[in-house]
Amino acid sequence: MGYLARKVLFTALLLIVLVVLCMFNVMVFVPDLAAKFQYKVVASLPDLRNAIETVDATINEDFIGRMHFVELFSRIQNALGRKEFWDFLYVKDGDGYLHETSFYKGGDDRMIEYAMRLKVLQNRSIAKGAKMIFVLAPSKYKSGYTNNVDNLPIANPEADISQLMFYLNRFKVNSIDFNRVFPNDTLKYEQCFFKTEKYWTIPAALMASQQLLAWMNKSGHVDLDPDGLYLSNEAFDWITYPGTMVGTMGQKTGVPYSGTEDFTALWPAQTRVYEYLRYLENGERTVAKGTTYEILLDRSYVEKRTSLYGESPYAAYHKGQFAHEIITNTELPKGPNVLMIRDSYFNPVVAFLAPVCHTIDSIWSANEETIYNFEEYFHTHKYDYVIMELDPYNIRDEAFDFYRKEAGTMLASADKEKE
Amino acid sequence: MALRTRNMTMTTIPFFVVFLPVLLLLYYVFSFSSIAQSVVLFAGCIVFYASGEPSYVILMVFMVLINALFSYMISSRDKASGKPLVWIGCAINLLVLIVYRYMGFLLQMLGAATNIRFRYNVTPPFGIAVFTLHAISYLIDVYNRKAEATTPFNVGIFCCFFPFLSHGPVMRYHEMASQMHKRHLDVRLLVMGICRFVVGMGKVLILADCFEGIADNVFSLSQVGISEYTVPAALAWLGIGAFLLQVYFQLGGFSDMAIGLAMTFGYVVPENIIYPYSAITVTDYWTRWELGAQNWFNEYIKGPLGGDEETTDNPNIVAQVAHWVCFGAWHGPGYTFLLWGAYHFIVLIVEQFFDLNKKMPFKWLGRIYTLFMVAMGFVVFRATDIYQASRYYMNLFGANHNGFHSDLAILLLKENWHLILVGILFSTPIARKFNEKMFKNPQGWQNAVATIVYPVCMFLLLVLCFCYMVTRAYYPTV
Repeated sequence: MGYLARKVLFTALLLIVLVVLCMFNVMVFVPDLAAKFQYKVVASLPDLRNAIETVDATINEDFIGRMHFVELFSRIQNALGRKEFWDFLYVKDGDGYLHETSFYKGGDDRMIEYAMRLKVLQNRSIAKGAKMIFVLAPSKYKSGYTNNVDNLPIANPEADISQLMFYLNRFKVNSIDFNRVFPNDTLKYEQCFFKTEKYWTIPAALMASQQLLAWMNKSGHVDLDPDGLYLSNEAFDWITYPGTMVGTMGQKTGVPYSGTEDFTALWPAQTRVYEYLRYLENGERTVAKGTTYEILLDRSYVEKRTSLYGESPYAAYHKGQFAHEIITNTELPKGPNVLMIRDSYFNPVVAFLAPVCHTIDSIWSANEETIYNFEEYFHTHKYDYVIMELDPYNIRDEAFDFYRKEAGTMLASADKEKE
Repeated sequence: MALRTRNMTMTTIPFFVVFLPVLLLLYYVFSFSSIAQSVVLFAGCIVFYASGEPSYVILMVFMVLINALFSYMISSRDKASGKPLVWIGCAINLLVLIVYRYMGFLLQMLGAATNIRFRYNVTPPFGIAVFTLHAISYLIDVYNRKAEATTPFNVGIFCCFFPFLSHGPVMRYHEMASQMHKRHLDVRLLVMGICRFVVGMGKVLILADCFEGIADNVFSLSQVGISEYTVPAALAWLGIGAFLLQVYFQLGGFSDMAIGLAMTFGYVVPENIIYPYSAITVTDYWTRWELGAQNWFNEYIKGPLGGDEETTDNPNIVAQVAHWVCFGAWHGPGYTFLLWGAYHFIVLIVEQFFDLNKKMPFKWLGRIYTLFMVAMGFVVFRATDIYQASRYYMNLFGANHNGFHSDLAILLLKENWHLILVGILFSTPIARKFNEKMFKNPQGWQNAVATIVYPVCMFLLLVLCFCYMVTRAYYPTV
């Protein structure tokens, strides 16, 4: 009897929990689903697949008490003293920085190809009267700074970085490697990188923006922001929000595992009026017009956070990243037109440089859902500056999705010349 | 065009929090009518199936109808005139299996022989391997008069009962026939089933996933090649050890979940796994591992080829070869699975020759021997190709100039020692034996304590499972 009694007790408990959970969850996700499907017609097989995926994702996202379970899992990992999280999705170094992992990363033997594609892009830019530069964002993993106890398999992009920079130098492509800039005397390692996020900090992004401005001034023989109203350190209110930052890495591992950190935000004192155009994946567009704080920055991501698991404060800068956007500064019609081929490291940089440019045409090169042919687009548009930026972990074929054929031909002819 | 299948598995929040409670509720609401229950359960199977790839639902329903039709035609004729129909019915099922699961591999072999490159990129429907065996079993059992033809709903439930589709256990229809019409819905079965389901979920989510991570990483490193990365012997042994635990807890866990769910729906299903790593020979191992599939291949492949008449002194080689080749191939398309089947055939023949089952001098020695032999088989089973398997064997025995010591192995052990310890403990019958001794006396104080402790522990296990399910499905946005 005892044997069955204890099982009956548990079963009764489980059935009650299941029924309650089911009822409450249905009450939450059904209205959410109804809203999502309000204007959608499921008329084809792909529609049906998408609908199933939406239902699945919605049930997961709306699951009541979801973050409590994530936190409990996080606490358990902490209690077990684990340095790796979820089968080496992330590892925690000796100083508590979360890193992406890689057990083994084969050398990418196409670095020369990527460099040549950039060379072609530079040639095309020059032919169109534009200045071009390639910007490599700094990697969070840094020999000499990253305290890697126990030889954790932290993803280390340093070999890729040096190889790519070697070829860029050989092909005389303008470039800035911010791995050589950060950290420095002004910004220490801990001021350049978040523990719980892969990106650089906002002060580091400002310093990078200032260096890019210097390059634009020098190469274009102009003096953008002559009084330092928009990009000098004094042009911003520096506010540190203690304990508000939990990046996407920290959110995935849960706060008990990752901890929280301070977020230093730079809010510009001067504002501009912008027109904003975003192309959506389905071919539609969204447009908006407003001031800096309506279009580019949103302080609520930092100041009105209700949960540490909401969108990261980093999203306050440019509100995330999209496949293609055009920002037009209506107050500076004679400013430069800039094409930025970039990833999410540049979200704050776009916000910082926008006041000194007329337009910033921003394209996310590694986005898998790019909706048009870049070469054609570039051919039909006029720019003063072309800036391509990549996070070292993004150095891969899809990020350099242009001039493949031409670069291939140039490399082949160079090989023939060698022979 | 490649179709992606992303099934709602039994270890996800949508399944556990929405699908299962709703289905159970409907099923028990309709307990006054067996037909209505069959309809509800079959509809549940379709929803589960559609969650992965909706287009394959049409194929599934079509195949169920075909099998139902053939079974009616077979049962309405005598054995002689029904024989061609059984062959045709089985051939149709096999054809679908080959087209969806093996065609890519066959074309790859043909391409290698003819130097022509074929393009064939079809993702097989979820659970098609189990579906096919169930359908064939149904037709043959109806033909052999071991069972009667049943309604399309019951055919659908038997062929694509969702708990069985991913990892089995594989059933023979005559084992289930009586229950298809008359289910045993009682509290005891429901209670046992739910407890078993939760234990299985814990095995899969907490243990199998952890061991899978270790094994995957080590096998991937081994695949890189010695010129790029050397896998030391210690790491290779850790990798295969983790894989042994992974398959045990994955198959064992899913079997527990399937058997448990079947019980909650009123079906009593035979065991699929009985502590295989306690076996003292490989022959003994195969009386404890994948019993459902083993019995199926014994009855429908080995038996008709004369395997039924074999004795220890007179093994039927043809029947055994056919059994193991088919059994290996059933696990997946690829040479590695065929080799794995052939390997076990050879080991069993050798054991039969030396009568090892009776002559094993010490049990502990037998267990070490069996684990070693099974592990060697699993190397080729887990490897992506024969080359990787050969590299892995060389890594295991230090024949790759790879040395023994591995910092990574130490790191993996340090990070996972708790779960490895639990895994080793629960892959042996120690816990069961402890239970039996502890609770021998139904009136003892131990039982009284367990009445409180057991639900608490199980509830903690359930909470832990939720933690794993939720964290796995949680993707923060930038």
